[in-house]
Amino acid sequence: MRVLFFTCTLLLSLQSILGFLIPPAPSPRPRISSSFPLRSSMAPGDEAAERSAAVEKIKSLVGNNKVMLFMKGSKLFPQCGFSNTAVSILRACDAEFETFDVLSDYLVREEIKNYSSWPTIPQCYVNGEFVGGSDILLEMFESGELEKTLAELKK
Amino acid sequence: MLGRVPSFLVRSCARAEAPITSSALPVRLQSPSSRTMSNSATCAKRDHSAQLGGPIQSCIERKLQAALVPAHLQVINESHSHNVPKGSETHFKVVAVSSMFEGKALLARHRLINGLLSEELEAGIHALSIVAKTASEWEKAEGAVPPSPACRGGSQK
Repeated sequence: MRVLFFTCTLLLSLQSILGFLIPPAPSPRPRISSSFPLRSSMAPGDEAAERSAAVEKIKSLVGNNKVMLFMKGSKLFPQCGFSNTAVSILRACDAEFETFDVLSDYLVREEIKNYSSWPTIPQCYVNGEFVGGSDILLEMFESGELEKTLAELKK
Repeated sequence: MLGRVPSFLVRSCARAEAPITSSALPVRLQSPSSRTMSNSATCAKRDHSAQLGGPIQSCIERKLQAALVPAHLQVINESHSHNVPKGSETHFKVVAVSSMFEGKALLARHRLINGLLSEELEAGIHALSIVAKTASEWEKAEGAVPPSPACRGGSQK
């Protein structure tokens, strides 16, 4: 009986000691897809202001750069095959162009599609006007039309 | 003309007659009486509820066939070449030859196709590569279709 009592006491003591030493298991976090940037959790009024700012940023980039490419990744490190094609074509034309990485700003990524009424990235603007995506740039390059258009910018 | 094109952009010799992938089956011209117009909203909602599996390609083919009455149409699911789950229908190439493109600039032709597939694009298509030619342009190009570029990971880190 004494042995039983002692054993139970020992086990209870061990349990309380181990409870301090072993931290509780973390609660499982919800799985969040990394395919798309996380959507904002801002209040509606704040998000409207942020979207408006994104549109102004787009207008500024398009207006201040003769050739502007909205793409995935950067000029040096494109993160999309179609964006890479667009960069390669503009480089092949010796064009001076600026790029914006839409993966860095989900609001710009969404609003650029509304701005041009064009659903995909990349998007190329020349002299403030939307020209097209990589397929159109490729056809314009092959026909010579792109180089002609870019040459006129230098005049 | 090919001499002006950098090597990385040289077209493959994919011909219209040879499917690029097993899913790139050309859809031949149907007579106007056999055309059926699918309900566009039904296509997008039904397919979206099935998590974009399977029927998206068929839906795209039906819509383009009905609207463009093309002499040649290929809808190719290129999702397997991209950083998306197996079985996805998120990246497509459309090759369409139609008299509807006569007199239209490139941008207008692409906008026409984008408009026809607006619901699918809203529902989750990430990329839509388009080749839109008239019959004479197609003949001049000898049915050559530029290959789509290799994936570079996209937004996946």
